[in-house]
Amino acid sequence: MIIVQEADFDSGALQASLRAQSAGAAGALVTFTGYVRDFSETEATSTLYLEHYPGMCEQVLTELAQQATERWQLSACAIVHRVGALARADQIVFVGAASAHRGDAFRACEFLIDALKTRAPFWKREELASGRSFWVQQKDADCARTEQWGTAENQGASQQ
Amino acid sequence: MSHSHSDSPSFSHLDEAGQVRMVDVAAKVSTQRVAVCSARVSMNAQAFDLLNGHERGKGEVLNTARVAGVLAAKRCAELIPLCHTLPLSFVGIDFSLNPDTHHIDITSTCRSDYKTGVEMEAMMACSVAALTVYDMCKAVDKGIVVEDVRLLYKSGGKSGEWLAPGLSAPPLAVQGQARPAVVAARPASEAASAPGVPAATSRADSPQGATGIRLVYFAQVAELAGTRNETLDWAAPLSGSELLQQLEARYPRLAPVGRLKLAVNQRHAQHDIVIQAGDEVAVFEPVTGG
Repeated sequence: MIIVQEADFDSGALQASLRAQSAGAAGALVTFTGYVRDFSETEATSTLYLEHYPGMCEQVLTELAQQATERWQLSACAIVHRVGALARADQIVFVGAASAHRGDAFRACEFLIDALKTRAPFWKREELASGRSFWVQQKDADCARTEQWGTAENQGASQQ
Repeated sequence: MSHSHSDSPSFSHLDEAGQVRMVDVAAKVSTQRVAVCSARVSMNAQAFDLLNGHERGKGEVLNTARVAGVLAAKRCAELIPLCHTLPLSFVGIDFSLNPDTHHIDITSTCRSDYKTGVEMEAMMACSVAALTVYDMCKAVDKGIVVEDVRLLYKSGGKSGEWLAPGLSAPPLAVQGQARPAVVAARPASEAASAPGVPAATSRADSPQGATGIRLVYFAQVAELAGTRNETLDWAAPLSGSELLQQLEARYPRLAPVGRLKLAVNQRHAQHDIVIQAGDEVAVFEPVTGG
């Protein structure tokens, strides 16, 4: 299940859906939910604006889900990502991975969120309570995390 | 003469006593510096047509001038007395030929991460590129004029961005048939009267107006370009790096951004990818979702 939407999502319902989809097959379901947090300790975030590349976004997320499904024998997998204007503490992203064993489910879930952060065409603009706003820069640490996953063949094209 | 007020214009290379000095940049911080300059070489019809009609020769002359421009930028500090030596990150020279006016317009772009600007390097680059064209064409026309050497744009440092008066955006670095030009933002009449020069790396020409390259910009790139999408005149296959160079010349605000990424037909692409007619090319900064 791959969804890119402006509306909020129900992480409980998504978890229940993954559980139902993989009933009997999955011994473990690991989910991750990302929230809008304050950008720094000293400045509160008022709005996080998320821009995306429609079409390519869904395509990249589908490919990542396929990679994870093959690599860790997932019985079900979901990625839901919001776009548009988000408020402080809003949900941004949901990732869920169901597999026979917890090790595979944990790894698949972590891979999906790591790879998504450096592959899927989303861009964040922070608007601080002070009125200052700026486009968030990609962190080298995030790239390093994605690279640690041993990079499938088409992973290499992600970064120069 | 009042040069005592620090906020009023003064010559930075003259001290309070009016004596020549080198500006001390020791305390300044390094920032990303960009300068775009232009020069015009104006020759008679005979010389222009001889050059323009000689496919191979034209490429040789312009490529020689291009290399001369790059070398000149690197040696700028040796010739201009008070110019600082600085580490250049990039020097680019582009040419545009206009058969109606017999002009060759030269645009130079210099970049550096340093404490002082690169406009002298860019001025030097297009001046010497222009003189090289003169040198190689003077046997046909001794009256060739090098004119209008000027700064079009600079950014970085304390003074921020500067755009030459009368320009809303710097002119295209290249307006050509064998290299594409962004046409969406420029009047059709201008596009039609600027046939330009084929790339010196002589590529096969494609039929004009066949199909375009659709460019889409996201996030900060869209803000800096001032548009979200436009169509590029199709000419011949070009690499991702060539496309980015042209975009940086057209939108100098993009140049300091540095690590621009491409996606071709909605797939991540390296800068050496070959872009074809009909492709959709997205230009963006590294992604930051999740």
